[in-house]
Amino acid sequence: MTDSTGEPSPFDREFAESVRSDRLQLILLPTEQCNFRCTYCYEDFAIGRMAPEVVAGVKNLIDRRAAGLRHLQVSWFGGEPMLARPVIEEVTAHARAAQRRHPGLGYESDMTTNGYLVDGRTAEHLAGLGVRAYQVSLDGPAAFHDLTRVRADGRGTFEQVWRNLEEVRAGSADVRMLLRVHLTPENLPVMPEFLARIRDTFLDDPRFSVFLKRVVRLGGPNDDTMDVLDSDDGKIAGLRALLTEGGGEERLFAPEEVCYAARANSLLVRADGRLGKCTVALSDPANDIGRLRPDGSVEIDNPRLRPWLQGWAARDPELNACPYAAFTRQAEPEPKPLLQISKRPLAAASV
Amino acid sequence: MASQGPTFAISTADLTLDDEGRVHIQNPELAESVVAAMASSPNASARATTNNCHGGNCAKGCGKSVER
Repeated sequence: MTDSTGEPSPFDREFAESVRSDRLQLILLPTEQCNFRCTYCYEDFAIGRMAPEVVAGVKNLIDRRAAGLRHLQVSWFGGEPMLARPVIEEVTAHARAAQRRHPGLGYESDMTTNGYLVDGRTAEHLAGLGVRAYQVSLDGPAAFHDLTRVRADGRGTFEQVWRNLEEVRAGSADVRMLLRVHLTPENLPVMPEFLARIRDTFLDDPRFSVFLKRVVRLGGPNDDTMDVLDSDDGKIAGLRALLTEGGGEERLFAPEEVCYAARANSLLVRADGRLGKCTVALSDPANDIGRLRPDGSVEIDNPRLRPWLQGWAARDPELNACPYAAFTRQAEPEPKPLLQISKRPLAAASV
Repeated sequence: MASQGPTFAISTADLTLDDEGRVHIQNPELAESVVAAMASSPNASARATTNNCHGGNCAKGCGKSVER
């Protein structure tokens, strides 16, 4: 708590941000299908496109809450969200309309996408509906990317994704484009050249930034055989320096310390209307905390919600960074696999 | 610079979501503290955008916590 002279600590300020009712984040899975079959993916693609009654529920929930909100964040995830573009357009247009009716409502939308279907014209169009931030993953140059980030029919994806990124770069869409680049011992030797290409192609445009992500062992079946980089590997520092050459640190993305799953005012809405917290633990019953009704009301199982918030009570930044760790810690002494493993061949695990 | 006040006494039992997904804080003292903190940072939209792994939370949190 605060007193008349004191200010809340950064931890308590984050807590306040996470429970304030004038802020709402809806993480929407408009489809749980994907046009890619990345070799390390943890999803099982068992659920299809968001049903009309769920879409209606999302829109009605926005209407119910709009008058009391200062900020609405609509985050698209999947599956590949762009496979359900009509759902994205319907919901974002509705959010835009709500914003026009309620001038005090701040609204922004973002998308985690494989980038295959986001060309320049699409980015421009969706920016008009409020979709202003994207994350697109790259596993290296084509020779590496096309080994792991493959289409459902097995074909490579790099050239199309790169072409789309170049189109966005050439256009004037009001978007931020985060390129998430996965690092492994295998692709490390080609990274200096590849990242220099990224830097020279995109990074003089302030809309673009890079997130260097080490692929790590997360309990998948290939953990024993896969090589990973140490977090303090000096080569990673070298790559970061390469990216900022001729520019600044703003080219490098700095992750937030608190996961959305630890925030009480953030809800995951699955394509079938189930409510959850985490976008990784999709097959864990602990991640089923309720249901969205077509009228926009929600049925919340609060005892199931609360374990996701325990990092606040424990004042544990590690748990706030990944509240799902609490479930894996309690379940067994050794961390159990975080990833939902499909029957597809797996080469590495990364989230 | 103002001094830092005592820390919030947070219990998850005090937190519930209502049937519109709105957070309710059952403990009046904690609720007051949150309102005071919000008053000192009133612009909710000014926070950095976070999304699924977009904010790197999975990347940082999950990877960091369960990596072996």
